[in-house]
This record gives sequence, structure tokens and C-alpha cells, in this order.
Amino acid sequence: MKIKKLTLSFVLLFTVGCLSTTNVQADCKSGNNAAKPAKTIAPDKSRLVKTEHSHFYIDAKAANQEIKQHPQTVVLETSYGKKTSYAKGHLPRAVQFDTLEIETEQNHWNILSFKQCRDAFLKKGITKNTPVLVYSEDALSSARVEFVGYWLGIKNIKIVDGGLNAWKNNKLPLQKGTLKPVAKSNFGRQTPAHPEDLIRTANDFRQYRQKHPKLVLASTRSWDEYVGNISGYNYIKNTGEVNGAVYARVSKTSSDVYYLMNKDWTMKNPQRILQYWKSKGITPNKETVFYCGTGWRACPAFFLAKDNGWKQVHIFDGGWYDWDKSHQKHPQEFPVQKGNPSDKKHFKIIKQPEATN
Amino acid sequence: MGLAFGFFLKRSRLCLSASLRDIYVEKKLDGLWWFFFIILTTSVIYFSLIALHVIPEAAQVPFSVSSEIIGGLFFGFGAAMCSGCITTAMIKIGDGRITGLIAALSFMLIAVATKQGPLSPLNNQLQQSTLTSANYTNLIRFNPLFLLVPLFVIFLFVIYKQKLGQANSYLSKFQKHSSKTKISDYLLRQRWNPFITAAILGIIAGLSFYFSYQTGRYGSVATLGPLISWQNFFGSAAVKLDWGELFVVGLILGSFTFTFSNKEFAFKNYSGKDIMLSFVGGCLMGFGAVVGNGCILANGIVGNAMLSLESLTNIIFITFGLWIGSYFLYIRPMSREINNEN
Repeated sequence: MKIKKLTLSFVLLFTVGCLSTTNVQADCKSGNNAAKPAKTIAPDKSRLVKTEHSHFYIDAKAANQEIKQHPQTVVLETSYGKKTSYAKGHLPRAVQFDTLEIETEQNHWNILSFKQCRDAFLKKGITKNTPVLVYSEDALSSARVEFVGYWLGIKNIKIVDGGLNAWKNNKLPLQKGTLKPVAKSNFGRQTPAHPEDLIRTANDFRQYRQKHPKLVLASTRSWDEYVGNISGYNYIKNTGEVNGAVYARVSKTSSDVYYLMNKDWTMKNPQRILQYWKSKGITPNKETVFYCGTGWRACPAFFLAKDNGWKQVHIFDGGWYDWDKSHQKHPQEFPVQKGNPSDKKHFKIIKQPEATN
Repeated sequence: MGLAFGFFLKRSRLCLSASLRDIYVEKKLDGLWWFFFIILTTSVIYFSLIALHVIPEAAQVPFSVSSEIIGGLFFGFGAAMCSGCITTAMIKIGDGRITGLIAALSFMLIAVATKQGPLSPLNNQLQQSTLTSANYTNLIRFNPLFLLVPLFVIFLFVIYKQKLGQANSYLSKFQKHSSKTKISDYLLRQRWNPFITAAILGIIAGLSFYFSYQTGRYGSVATLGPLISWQNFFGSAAVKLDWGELFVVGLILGSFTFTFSNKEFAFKNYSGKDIMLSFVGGCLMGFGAVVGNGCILANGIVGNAMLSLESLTNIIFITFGLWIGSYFLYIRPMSREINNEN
């Protein structure tokens, strides 16, 4: 009987362990997000995208018309690494765009230089005047690539709202096989069009904040990351937040922007999130900097704000990853906060390194 | 540092968890003094490094009392099931015992589940409950070295006067003895006063603060974080292996170096029951370590050396967990056997 009980415990614990390794809280890049998008289309009133109003998003059906009517439009399927699922079915004329072409681990997952990013887009046949549609199978990589394209100066670049899932839900045609892009040589710009929107490193942010002491740093990280329960990333050991960060209620885990998206992964009607941001002091009349772990989740929040006419909005690309590295070396200059700011007793600003176990 | 720590821990023939367990099981305090001397040596070096501005002082952050209690109890009970904590499991891997490998693997599995997987919501809730900001700076308003150095000197005096660790003492009975005088015999086989190895382990742990800090990691010897990182490493190319991860590899290699040099290395057979106990014990230790934010090494030695009240709370309840586990696994079955015989 005891052996049976022990065997049952063994099986149960082993199952839990196996489930844990397939449900590891991996970050946005590795996409081990267990959540899948819904197969039903969200109703119009729940959606951000009214085709003619959004600068940064386009409805799947409108995207299909765009592709048919404008042969010069380049379509990018974005992903972290090359996905084998691309060849099985992608949007018509879509070419693959690997996010490792615009950010690398060696660069602390920060966006690469203007020249490197520009060359990545030129290889796909994109100049500043090329209309571009971006989409992905995951929730976030398209927004990351869209931000880089916007920052570089591509005039007309939009995300297909809901990505591949929305395309399939609307029963739009897919193309199989691998397409090779035709590269271009002259992008049309020598410097980024929107340099002010990108704050690269922890040091850059620290200096920017010294110049704009009233800016609001809006954290798009999940609540557990925000209060310091978890780091949210397999490769970031330390927990905490950049000091002064305000919780913006954007994501539920490190690989989604749950509160900005409907269940079918189309962008939500922003009224609720804008109200929440207002209640937290994240408003368009202030300098607002969105950030997350390595810059991915901040991108949809940035575009949502921009789409609603916000002018003074930026992304702190280095995020918690960069700030934590700086904190370990110079804790006084890069303080970290831990806990719920409403819990005055246990909320702390830490200007010393924390021991790692 | 891992190599040296594993070598000398194996050399001591003593076990961190057994030294706490035997307070109850054997009614002996010798192991506790050995354990305490490691902490004291580590602490003196740690606060000296801070005083010399070689490393900064660590932040004192709030901790959850309930998570330290629950984590400690689970960890201690698991360690009793495995006949040793996770550090001992690493040492066992180095000397050929499969039960160490099984305990380590199940530890990693459940630690990741608790830190990042399906058990993480429970862990996160525990971490946010019963928070306290108590820390040693509330109690000691002066440099701790003014307390630690005299305590260290007094302890050395007590070791000398009371002849702690001498031949025929409780701790020395675990050591083998060689009367030969070659250097290799001295290094591998001659009986050492266990407090010599305690001092060496303390020096390694203390200096590890410096070496680890040079790599951008603030901390000393540890197994929990590094083992979780190893688990994640096999699942994600983005995980970087740093000081901690290499330390646990060194721990295994250090133990292997000692046993191989001493011609003791051998793959040993174990019964199904021992294997099962190691697996379940490893799972409990994995859960307990994450909830308690550390193990016997990280909390018991390093955390207490840093005068962390969080670590003190955790090690007290690890000890209780060891005692409860030992009662159910060894003492009660033994007394039933004795009663049956009678």
C-alpha cells in the first residue's frame, strides 16, 4: 500500500514537473506562451482598429485588399528566429523577418544601430517610401519590428491587427512555400526619423530623466514582475523595477499584452486602458516612457498611445534587463524598487545590490 | 571555488544537514558548532570585504515570515528523506551515488515549477504575505566586525580549550585515518580536526563574495539559483551561465576529485525505496528552497553570515523539518522494531 502511495506521488510530482518545463515563464522572444488566440473574431465595439483611423494597425480584410491592389506593398512575417511554420502557410507575398536582424543578445537585446536596422529592411526590399504590412504568429514580434521601421523612418508601416490568427479567422487566402525578397540599395535616409522616441540604454534613460524630472515611467510588465515576485525571464535572475516606475497594467505574463488585446489577439478598444492610465497619472500632457523587460511589450503600448494622439511618448528599450545590469555595478546611480508602492511599510527603493541565492 | 568547496566538504566527511539533524537524532551539538564555525569564518571575511570597500553592503529587503517557515519545513523534511540536502546531493553525484543525481534532478524540476511554472502563483502569494522589514541593522547600530572578530577569537579559544574536534570526538568518528605521512596522505587521508575544514569552507565561502562580485553577481556559494538556471539553459539559448552555474559544476567535480584520488569512487547500488525517497525528497527540497528563498548553503551558511534575519528564520525551520523527517523516517520505525523484538 505504501509503495502504491509512493508511486502515485511519484507520478503526480513528475507530471507537475513536466508541465512546469513546458510552461516555463519564458520571455516574449522564445514564445513559450501557453496562451493561444481565440478562433472567433472579437466584435467591432471591442476593437481598436477602425480601418481608416489607425496609423499603426490595419484590419485583416483591409490588409488583404491592400495586398491585392498594391503590388509594391511588402509584407513581412516576423518571428524570433526562423519559423518552419512560415512555409506551411503565410500571407500572400510575405517574406520572413527574423527579429535577430534588428536586436541581439550581445547588444543586451537592444535595437541595433541605424545602419544595421536599415540594412535589414533593405534586404527585404524596403525603403522609407515602401508601404509595409507586418504580422506575426505570436503576439508581439510584429510590434517590435513595426517600431524599428517607424523609428527608421518608413512612412507607411502597419501591423495586421490580430496577426496570422485574424487572417485565418477571416478565412483569407494563405500562400505556401518560401519567398525570397528582392533587396534594395538606397533606403532614402541617413539618420532615424524619430530618434526622440527611442531611449536606448539604462544610462540614456537616467540622463533623460534628469532633464525631464516629471516624466512618467510606465511599466508594461506583469504585476508579479512589477512587485518583484519574479523576473519574468529565464535569463534575468534578479527581480524588481526601475525606481519610480508606475504599473500600467498592460501584460499578465512576460510574453503577452493581455490587457491591450482581445481574446483573438486584435487590439482592444482603448477606452478602458486609457482610463486606467489616467488614474495612474499616465496622461498625454506628460512625458511618458513605456518600458518592459527588453522592449517588446512596450511597443504595442507605445503605438496605442500614439494612435490616440499622444506626442510626448517614448520607449526605454534597455528595460529591466539593462537597468538590472547597471544596478549590479552602480546601485546608487541605478536604484531599484521592490514591492507594491501602495504598501508603504514594505515598499523599498534599493540602492545596494541584493544577494543572489 | 566550487571545486575547492566540493573537495573540502567531501574531505571533512561531514554533512551540513546532518550536523543540524544530529542535534535531535544523536543528541549531539558538535555538528552545530562545526556549522556555526563555517558561518562565523564566512561572516568575518564578508564584513571585512565590505569594510575594505572591496564589495558594497547588500540591501536589506522585506521578507515573508510565513514563506521562510513553510519553505524551511518542506526543505528540511525533504533533506531528511534524501539523507542530505541539495549540496550533499551534489557531493553524492561526485562520488558515484545515483541517489544524489535523482534528488538533484527532481529538485531542479520542482524548483522551476515553483519559481516559474504551475506552482509559481502559490509561491508568489506566499512571498507577499506576512511581510516584515526586520533586519540586523535594526538591532546592531555598529559595524558587525566589532562583534564578529571577538566572537571568532573566543570560538578559537573554546575549540582549543575544549578540544573540540579532537580524535575520539563525535565528529572525528566520521573520518578515516591514515598513519602514513606522504603529502597525498596528509591531503586525502590523515585525520584533520573538523574545525580546520570548517575554517577552509568558511574562507572559500567568504572569498566567493569577492570573486562572484567581479563577474557582476552579488552573492556567494549557492545551489538554488544556479540549478534553476541549468534547467532553463537546456530550454533556452538565451540563458547565460555565470559564476553560480559554474560553482555547482565545480562542487560535483571537487567531490569527484577527492573520491577518485582516494580510490573511493564507485557506482553504488540502491534499493527502489531509497531511489523513491531521493526523488520525493528532492521534490520537497525544490519546493521548499524556492519558497524559502534558499537552501542550507545559501540561507544556512551565506545568509546567516550576512546576518540576515530571513536566513535565520529559514534555517531554524529547516532544522525543525529535518527533525520531523528524521522522526518519521528513522526514529519511529526503529522504536517500533525494538518494541516488536521485545
